[in-house]
Amino acid sequence: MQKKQKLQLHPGTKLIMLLLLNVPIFGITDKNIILPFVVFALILLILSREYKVVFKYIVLYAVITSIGVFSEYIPDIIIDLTSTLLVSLKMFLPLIAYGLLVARTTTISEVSYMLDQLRMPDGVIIPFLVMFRFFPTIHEERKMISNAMKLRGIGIDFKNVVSQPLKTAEFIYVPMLFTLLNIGTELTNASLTRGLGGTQKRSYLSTVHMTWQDAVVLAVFFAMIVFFFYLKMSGGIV
Amino acid sequence: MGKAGKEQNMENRKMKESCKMNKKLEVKDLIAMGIFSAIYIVVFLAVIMVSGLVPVVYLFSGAIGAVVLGTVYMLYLSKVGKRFSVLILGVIFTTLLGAQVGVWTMFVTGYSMAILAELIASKGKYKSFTLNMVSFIFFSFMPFGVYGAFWLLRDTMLESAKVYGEAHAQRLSELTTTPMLFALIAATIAGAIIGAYIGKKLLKRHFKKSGIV
Repeated sequence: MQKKQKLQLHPGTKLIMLLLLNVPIFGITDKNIILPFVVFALILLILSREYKVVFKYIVLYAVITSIGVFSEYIPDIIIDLTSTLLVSLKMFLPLIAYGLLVARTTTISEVSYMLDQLRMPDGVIIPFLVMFRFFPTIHEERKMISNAMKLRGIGIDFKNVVSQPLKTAEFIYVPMLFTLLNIGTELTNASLTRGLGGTQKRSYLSTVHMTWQDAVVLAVFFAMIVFFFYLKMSGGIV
Repeated sequence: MGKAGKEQNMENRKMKESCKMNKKLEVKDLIAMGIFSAIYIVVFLAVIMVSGLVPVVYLFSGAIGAVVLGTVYMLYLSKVGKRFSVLILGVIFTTLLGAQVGVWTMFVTGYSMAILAELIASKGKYKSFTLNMVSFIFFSFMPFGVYGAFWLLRDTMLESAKVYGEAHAQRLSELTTTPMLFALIAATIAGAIIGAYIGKKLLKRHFKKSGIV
């Protein structure tokens, strides 16, 4: 039985691309130039089999772009009111494509291994890992709290949020902090039992290394940046 | 002497040990840090999403976030008030948000403000309310690199606004003037102060009573 191969990039590669993309975005003002970079990110996402994200991203991109194209037909007031958000989104969308690539295709164990290779202290690694573990927990607890609140007639709905925002916030917030801190205590005991915080160096089940895939992707990315700066220098684009 | 001296000695040693323990970060603190970072980020993103519905308010999301997040920050300091705790929270927040948005200014404001907040909070040993409040003001400026891009990267942002018509770009540049920047900064400071006081009140009302702090 052969499993279909999917692209696995080193987290470092993705982060380098995300940071370097700032150079063409803020260095070259012609916005059409950014499109190849976006397409490149989408191709990488497709190769990593993240079809849903790609679809959502394309829809968002199309909406934002079409607002620019049809701006004459949209009432002025709407664009004026939304302009701060529109412009931010338009500027940051290419970056968000690479952000999605980082967020969707990187596993937590990869991150922890990479941080360990970078010789980060445990004080940074452990909070990072715990944080990722707690995102789903927060979601669950919030649901349970709002169920409990509904029973007492103080649900988290639009009316309550608008009419008494501080009270509603307090009623969600305080129980949430309580339960999470309790869960944290349990987690501490459990992980201490398993040897977290010991003097021995931890070992890793999965490791990541730079492979030829990373080399190819980075080479293409650098080539694109150099090519567009060459075009800019030679006066082909502004 | 005898027994009393021995007891005195024991007590001294216990005090010393607890002092030492208080200074160093233990696994318990590291896990609490992770939990608080998760809460901080989730609440901040929720605030951005809600304020994004009314787009001009989007510029003030840092200020609104500060009002809501004051409680988390104050509880964090009283629970894990140890060296580097503020810095680590800031670094995690900046790295995660920066890896999503990717603008370089986010990293610059994020890391520098986290360092400042850490320095100020550690001056008061994380116990003085005034210093904690000042450090929270700096902490609230961390995401400024994202919504403050209209000033930090002014030319590029206004250039790209021209897609929506010259008139809109003109109006946007009138909206994002220097007085507006000062209003934004003032709002963030005010938000942080209000948030800190709300945090103090809630801490007293709920957490001190139950003995969690």
